[in-house]
Amino acid sequence: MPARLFDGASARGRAVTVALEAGSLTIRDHAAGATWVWPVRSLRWRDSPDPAQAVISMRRNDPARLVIDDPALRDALAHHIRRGRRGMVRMRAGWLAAIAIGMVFAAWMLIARLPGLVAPLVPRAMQAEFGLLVEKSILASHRVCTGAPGQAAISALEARLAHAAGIANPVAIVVVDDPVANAFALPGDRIVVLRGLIDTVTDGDELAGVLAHETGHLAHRDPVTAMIRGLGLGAVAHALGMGGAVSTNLGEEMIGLAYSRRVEARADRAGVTYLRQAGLRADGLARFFARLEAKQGSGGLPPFLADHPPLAEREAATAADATGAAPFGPRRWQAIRAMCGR
Amino acid sequence: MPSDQDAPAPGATSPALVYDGRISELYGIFIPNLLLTIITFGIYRFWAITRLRRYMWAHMRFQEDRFEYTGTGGELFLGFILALTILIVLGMVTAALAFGMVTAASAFGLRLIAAPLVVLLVLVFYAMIFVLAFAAIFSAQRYRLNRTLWRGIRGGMHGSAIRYGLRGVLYFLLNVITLYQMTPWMTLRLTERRLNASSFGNLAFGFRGRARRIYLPFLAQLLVFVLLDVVFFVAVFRQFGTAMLHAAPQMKATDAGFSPPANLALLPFVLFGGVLAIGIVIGLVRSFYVAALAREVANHSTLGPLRFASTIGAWALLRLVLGNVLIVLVTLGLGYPIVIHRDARLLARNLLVSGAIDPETLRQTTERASALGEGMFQALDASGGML
Repeated sequence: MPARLFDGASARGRAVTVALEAGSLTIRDHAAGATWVWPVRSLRWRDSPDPAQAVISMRRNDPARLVIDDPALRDALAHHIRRGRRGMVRMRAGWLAAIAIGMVFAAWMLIARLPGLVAPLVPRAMQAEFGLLVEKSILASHRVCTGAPGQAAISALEARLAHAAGIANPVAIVVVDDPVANAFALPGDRIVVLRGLIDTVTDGDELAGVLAHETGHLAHRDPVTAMIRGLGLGAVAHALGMGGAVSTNLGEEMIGLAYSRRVEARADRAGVTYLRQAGLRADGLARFFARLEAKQGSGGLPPFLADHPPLAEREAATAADATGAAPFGPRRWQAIRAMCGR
Repeated sequence: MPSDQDAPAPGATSPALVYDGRISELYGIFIPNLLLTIITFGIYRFWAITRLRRYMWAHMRFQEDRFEYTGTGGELFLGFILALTILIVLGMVTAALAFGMVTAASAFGLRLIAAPLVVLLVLVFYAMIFVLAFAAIFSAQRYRLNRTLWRGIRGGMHGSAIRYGLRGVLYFLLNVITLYQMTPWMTLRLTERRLNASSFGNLAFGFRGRARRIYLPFLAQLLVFVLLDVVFFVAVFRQFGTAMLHAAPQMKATDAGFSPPANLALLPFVLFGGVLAIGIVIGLVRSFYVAALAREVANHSTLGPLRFASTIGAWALLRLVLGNVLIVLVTLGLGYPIVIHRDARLLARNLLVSGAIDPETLRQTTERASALGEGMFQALDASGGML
C-alpha cells in the first residue's frame, strides 16, 4: 500500500510502499532500494488534523514520519497501534500518578529524612544564635527564676549529665516561671525548664530523669533537626502558596514542635544511660512516667507528652534499679524548689 | 496534497504560514485543560500548554506541510521542578551565607560590617535570578525549536543560555544608565543573539537589525509618556495642591487664592482615570514602535534561502491588542482561545516570505536536542500566558 515517508535525515518525501507483516511494518522505497522495519509495538500516532490522513512514527523521539493517505491501511494499523488517542489518556494518567507518588516521596524525604542529615552540618555558631533567639522570645513573655543556689544546683547536675552525654560545650539551663509542667531542649545546647515541672515532680530523681531525657535530645541534635524541619515545612508551604501562616515567633514554633515516638524513645534510653554513667539513680524517669500514667486516668496529661509514646511503654523502657546516688541533697533540692521565689 | 513542485518562485513575496485552526476546536482543548488544571491545583498546566501547542503547531502549514509539536507535558514539568530546585538551593545558600556572615561578624564584634555584606549578598542573589530570567528566554526558544518538526526535520539552537543571560543583564544595566535610550538597541542585539543561534535542520537563521531605524518611534512614545505624565501630575497638583496643604493639620496654608479649593475625595478617581487615559494614549503611540520593531525583525531575517518580510502596521497591531484585552476582560479570561486564534491569524497574515526551502537539500540538524523543557521560563513565570 502506498504512503509517504520522511526519514528524519532529510526533508525529502519518499514514495514508499507499506506492508504489515509478522508484527512489523515494513516500509520500502523501491526507487532508492531502501527498507525500514518498524516494530508495530513501538508505533505511535502523531497529530494530523486532516481526517483523510494519518501520521505515525516509531517511538516518541524518532523524527521519522510515515504519512498514510490510504484509509484501508490506516484502519488496519488502528487495530495494532495501542498508543493511540486512548493510549495517550492512559499515559497521561500514568504520568500524573507517578508525579503524585514522586511528590509524596519527595515531601517525605524533605521532611522526615533530610533534616536529620543536615543537622550535623549546621555550624555551632548558627545553632547558638538560633537557640538564643528562641530562648529570648520565650523569656520575653516569662519571668526568669533567678534563685542563685537553685540555679547552681541544677546547672551542676546538668553539667554532669552533659559530660556523660559527651556534649563538649557547657549546656545553658534556665528556669522560667510558668505553671505548665514542661521542659525543652533548644539548638545550641540550651535547656529551658518551666517552673510547673519542678512543682510536679516529687523528688530530685524525677527532675534529673527529665533533664537527662532533654540532654538526650541535645546529644542527638534533635532540636536542630526539628528546627530545620520547621523551616523546610515553611518553605514547602510557601512554595504551595500557603506561606502567609508562617509564624514569626520562634519561641512559639519551638514549643509547638513535637518529636516522633522514635526520637522520644531514643532520648529516653539515652537519658537512662547518662544517669547511670554519672553514677546517679536512674529510676526517676520511669517513676515520673508511672505517676503521670496514674494521673492520666483523671485526664491530667501534661502537654509536652501529648505526642509521645504511651507512658506505660516508656515506663517499661526506662525501668532501672534504685542503685546510684541521689542527684541533689535535701538542701539543694529545697533551693531548686524555691528558685521561683514563691 | 503536498508536493515539492508548487513552491513559490524566488523573489515573489507571499505569506510564510497558513493557519487553519478553529475557535470551536480550541475550546474543545481549552475547557478540559481549564478543569483539569483547577482540580490538580495547577500541576496539569504543563500538559495543558502542551495540548494547546500541539494543536496550534499542527494547524500551521509552511509550504503546504504542517508543523508538529513533539514536546510533552512531562518534559515541561520536570524542567519546572529542576528550575524550582535551582531557585530554592540558590535561596538557601544565600540565606545560609548571610546567616554565617552575621554570626561570624557578631562573634568578632563587627556587626556594622555585616549589614552591607548581607545587602551585597542579597543583591548578588537577585542578580543571579535576573541572569537566569534572561537565560530562560534563550532556553525556552531552544526547547520550542527542538520540539518543532516539519517533514521529519527539527530546529535547533547553539550557544550558552547563561552567557545570553549575562549579556542580557549587562545590556539592561546599560539601558538603565542611559535612561532607557538603548531599549531598541538592546532589543535588537538580544534578538540577533537568539536568531543567529537558531537553525532549522541544516539551515541557519540570520538576522541583523539597525536600532536607528526604529529609534524615532521609540523616542516618540517615550517622550509622549514623559510629557503626559508631567502634564497630568502638574495639573493634579495645581488642582488639589492647596486642598492637600489644608488637609495637613500642621501646615495651615494662609494663601487659599492659589487655585479654587477642590474636593480631596475626588483625588483617587482623578488619579485612576488619568493613569488609565495615559495608558490608552501610550498604547496608541507605542503600537507604532512595536510595529516598527516587528517589521525590523521580520524584514531582516533569513532562513537559508528564505527572506522574511512583514508589512504589519501600527493600526493592525493596536486592533489586535485592544481586541485581545477587551475579550479577556469581558469574558473574565474564558475568551483566551479567541485571543490565541487571533494572534495566530495575525502572524499568518503578516509574516511574508520570498524564496523557498528545497526539501531535497534540507537535512536534519546536528544540534543536540534539549532534554528538559523551558523549566526556568515556566518557574519564573515569564511565559505571560498559557501557550
